[in-house]
Amino acid sequence: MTGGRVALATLWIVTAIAIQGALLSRLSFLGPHPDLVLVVVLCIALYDGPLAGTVAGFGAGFAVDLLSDHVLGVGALVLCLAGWATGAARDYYDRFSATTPIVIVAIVSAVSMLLLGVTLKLLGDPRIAWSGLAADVPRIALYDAVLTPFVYAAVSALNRRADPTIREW
Amino acid sequence: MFRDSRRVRQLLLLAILTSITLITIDYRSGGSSPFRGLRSAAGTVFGPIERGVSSALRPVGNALSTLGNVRNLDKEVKQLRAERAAVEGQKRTNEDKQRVYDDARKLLKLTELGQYTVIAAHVTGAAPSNFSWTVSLDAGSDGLVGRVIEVSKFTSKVLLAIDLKSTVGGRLAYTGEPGFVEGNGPKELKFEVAPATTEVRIGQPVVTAGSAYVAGVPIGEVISTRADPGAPSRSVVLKPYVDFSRLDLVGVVVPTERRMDPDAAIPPNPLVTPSAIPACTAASSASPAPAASPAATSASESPASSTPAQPSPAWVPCLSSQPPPSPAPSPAASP
Repeated sequence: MTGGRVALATLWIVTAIAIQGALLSRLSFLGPHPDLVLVVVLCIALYDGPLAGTVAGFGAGFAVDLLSDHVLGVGALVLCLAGWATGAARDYYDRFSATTPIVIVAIVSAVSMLLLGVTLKLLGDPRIAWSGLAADVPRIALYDAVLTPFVYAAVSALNRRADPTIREW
Repeated sequence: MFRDSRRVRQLLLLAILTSITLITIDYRSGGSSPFRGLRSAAGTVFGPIERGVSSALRPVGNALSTLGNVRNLDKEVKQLRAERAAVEGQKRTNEDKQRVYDDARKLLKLTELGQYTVIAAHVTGAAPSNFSWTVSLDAGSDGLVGRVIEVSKFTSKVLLAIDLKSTVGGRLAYTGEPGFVEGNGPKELKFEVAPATTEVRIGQPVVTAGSAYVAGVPIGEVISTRADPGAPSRSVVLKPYVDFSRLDLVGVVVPTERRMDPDAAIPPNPLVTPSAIPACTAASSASPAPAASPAATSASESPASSTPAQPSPAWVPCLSSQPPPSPAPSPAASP
């Protein structure tokens, strides 16, 4: 990870947080809203590997924690695990097709959201109900999967331009 | 690869431990979290960014929200349309009610001037066929409308003054010359006044003379006059004060017995006497007047004497006696 890519990742995450807060979190008709920050972290991890995924996940999660009112550190924990797992998953598949990011993001999104919800619930967050969590997790995973192709294309295109020496995955 | 992997694992472990530490500290400290300053700093940094993005993306957000709410919007539009239609209908109803109210007030003034009982009635149906001009009232007007010729339980029929069969005793206002007002179609009345030399001025009102009709009810005003040479009387054309094509609220003048009933001396017959109508009025105002109101008493107080075809315990309608064979002399005046 070069300095330029760190800066790019930071830019991506800040943009994602801004769009998330300004737009996506207000689309109430969707029910639960897509988690763009998570999708961006996972796309960075898909592109750059587990190290970048872990760092990006921790940073993004911490920022989200700071901007939310839930217990600080939960988002950082979940997102760094999600980024690491997504990056590490690269060692376990051989062919990378257009649908690979979508499938991985869908799976990791579901697990992360479940983990986040369960952790917050165990920490006594009164807003989380088991039934609501069960209903929301699949929908969030679906929304995130829908966002993935666009985010991944943007992340990879910009990263390629910024650092052409990077080995294309 | 191995070193890279170990670095990653170390980093992950560090991140996890940091997160758990953060969670522990934040959870333990509750409201007085040491991270409060950090949170507000993050808000300060991200606030303007989010605001900028928000204003830039507002059209997008609105469009997406609209798309997502299309079904609700559709419902809302339908609901608002229905409400608007209801309100407009209500408005029209109110306008009509206002007109009826104004008429009623005028009618009330007219009533206060005279000594007659006036029943307000709505025109429920009109039969201005080409040859007859009658209207139906739901009980039994500025001027004379006509004469009640038929009274049924809930309605009565009025022979309008414009009907060709209608003849009304009239009198020229100011001069008092008597004559006959005859119906002459939907727009005008004929007034025959004798002798032919009678002086008649254009615009002079004609009022009822007061035989079968209440005296002094304005009928119409003179619009033209003609004296055929050698004719015994002068032909005058009157423009009725009442617009017969749009009758709605009319007043039915109900004669009180003492003053109007020419048959007051005859023992009252519930079927034919004109006094049946005032009698009904008395019954409806809940003042039992057995002797004076045989029609009402026969039906409401002693059902045995009433015909089985008329099982009407609630004797609410005023003009609900049988149709008098001889027309009840109950003229109608309209506001």
